[in-house]
Amino acid sequence: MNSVLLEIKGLKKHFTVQSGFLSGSRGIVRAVDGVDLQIYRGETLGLVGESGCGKTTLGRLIMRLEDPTGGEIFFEGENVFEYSGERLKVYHRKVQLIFQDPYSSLNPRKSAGGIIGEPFIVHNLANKKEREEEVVRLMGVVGLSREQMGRYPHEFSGGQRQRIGVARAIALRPQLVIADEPVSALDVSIQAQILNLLRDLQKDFDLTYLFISHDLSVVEHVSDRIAVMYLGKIVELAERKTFYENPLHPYTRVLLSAVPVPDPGRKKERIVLSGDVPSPIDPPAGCSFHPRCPNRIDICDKIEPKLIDRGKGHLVACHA
Amino acid sequence: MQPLLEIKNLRTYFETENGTVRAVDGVDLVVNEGDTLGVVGESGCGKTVLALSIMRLIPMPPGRIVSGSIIFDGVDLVSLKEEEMRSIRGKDISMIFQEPMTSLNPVFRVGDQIAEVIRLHQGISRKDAMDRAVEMLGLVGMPSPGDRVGDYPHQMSGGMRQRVMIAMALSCNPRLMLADEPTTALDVTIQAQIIELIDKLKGEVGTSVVMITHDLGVIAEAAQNACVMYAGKVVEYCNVGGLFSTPLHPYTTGLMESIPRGTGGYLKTIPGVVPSLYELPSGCSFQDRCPDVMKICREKEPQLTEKSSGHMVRCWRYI
Repeated sequence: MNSVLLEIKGLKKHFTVQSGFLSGSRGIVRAVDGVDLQIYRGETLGLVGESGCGKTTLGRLIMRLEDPTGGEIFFEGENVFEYSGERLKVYHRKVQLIFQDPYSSLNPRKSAGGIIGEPFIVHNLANKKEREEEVVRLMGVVGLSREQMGRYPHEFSGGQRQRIGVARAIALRPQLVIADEPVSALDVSIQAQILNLLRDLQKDFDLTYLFISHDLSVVEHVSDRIAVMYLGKIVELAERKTFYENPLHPYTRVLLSAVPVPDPGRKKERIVLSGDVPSPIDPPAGCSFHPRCPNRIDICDKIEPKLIDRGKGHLVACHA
Repeated sequence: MQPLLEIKNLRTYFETENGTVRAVDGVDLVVNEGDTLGVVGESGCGKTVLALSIMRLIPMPPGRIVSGSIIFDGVDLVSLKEEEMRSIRGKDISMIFQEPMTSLNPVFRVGDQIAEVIRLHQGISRKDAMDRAVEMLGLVGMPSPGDRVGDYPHQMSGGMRQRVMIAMALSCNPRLMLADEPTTALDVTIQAQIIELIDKLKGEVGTSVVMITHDLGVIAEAAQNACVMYAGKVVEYCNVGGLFSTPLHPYTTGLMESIPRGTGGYLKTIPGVVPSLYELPSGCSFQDRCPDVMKICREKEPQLTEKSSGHMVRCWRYI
């Protein structure tokens, strides 16, 4: 296996919120609540979970867009949260983000060429002529034509806009790209085009991906390893094959059985959960999944299960 | 058997500054009593405008039902006066929208919003209507419905709001329910709950459903018949088994092949993008993205033709 590129240790991010309208009572949202995770060089790590499970916050913490409440992140062995000034800038060159919504993540007042060229200006890396050459090259790489350089975001379709976002993210030759739901706003036929593009780029530029998504079939398609998050914690982590053939955590099994399969002949056993994801403001005691869990045992509402290796890097946090 | 809903040659156009948008351009469909018809297509293919046309909720102007008929239970909805339509809408035909947050009124309690529909159509007292609202919330699986009727929409999660929408849609035992992407804004576990719920209620209340979605997986699980729409037209129409076992139209096969199925490697894609509805090419509107395009495709538009028993397709390869 390759070397570790990014290592997360005991990472926590709690937000303070006003829970009452006038009462002023305060609550704490445990968006990320003790995450340990390693990302290996050259792999695609899929991160799945339902809305509100903290997967986007985790991505933002890695990008240093949020300050943690506790814990550490090491990139190539260095503590990311100790970076400042020039070293932080260098880190931001190595780690980039692709956003979910190609409509709101591009400045509507900048042309496509301006958007893709901006990282070079921010990091003061190229003069005007070099920058233009780079922009033309990047547009070619992501499948846009040179003539489209002067056009503005509103003149592009959703898929093309996402290509601009991808070009911007890879402009400075990053090592790690965090793709936060990069295809969930796109139609199926366009989604396939972008997934193929991301695969090509990974090969050509030796990229490592953290691929955040709620769509298990997309994650299965792109990932080498998959991690499942529930209420701010990783509950299962495994290689793709193991994950889909032998999921161990009851929540993972529920997620997998809930995906609608495009095959009407296949009648499958579906585990339908009752209830919603509990509020992260006041998560249940013990295992946070126990109120919805179909295989609950006595200990589950008292003691929180640890993430334990069940062999060959298959980590599960469950008492059963 | 007399179909519950029969749409013939429906055309809904929008007049805009840039020209005429042919959002629905000659659609023929049938929904039988007790069935679920799935309507699949990508954004901009006209599936929502189709549902709004059936509900007669197209903003006019700029929109306009140019031609065609929508026969519901023997009555042509297109020719009805607005007052007559109002007594059908919400009672005999109801609709669930995609975004449960924006389709509920934020300043009224959910119980009042459900009770309003019931009072309007059944003319019962406020108290009886509220009792019925509680009953409906219980039916759609809302925990402690007696307390939740007093909640405002913002106090509920997305899945709960969608249940309120379904409770409202079913409160007058409609004969037809139009569900426009009812699970798209929801997480998979909640989506599974809602699909099961719609299926269960269909059995209990006896409602027929038109399920509009971009997700072929949802169609496979929830519908008996399906039609695929592209650029305002139905390009393929058959039972769900036939659609998945022998898809005929190159657009349908393209859609099926672009779904990631965990096999790794490259996905097949449909090249290009959906054409602008302002400037549709003459001939088949799929011609520029079609892998098997022929000369005739660029010249003449194909008609929806029956290829095998009950399997309709709009493509020159099969004519």
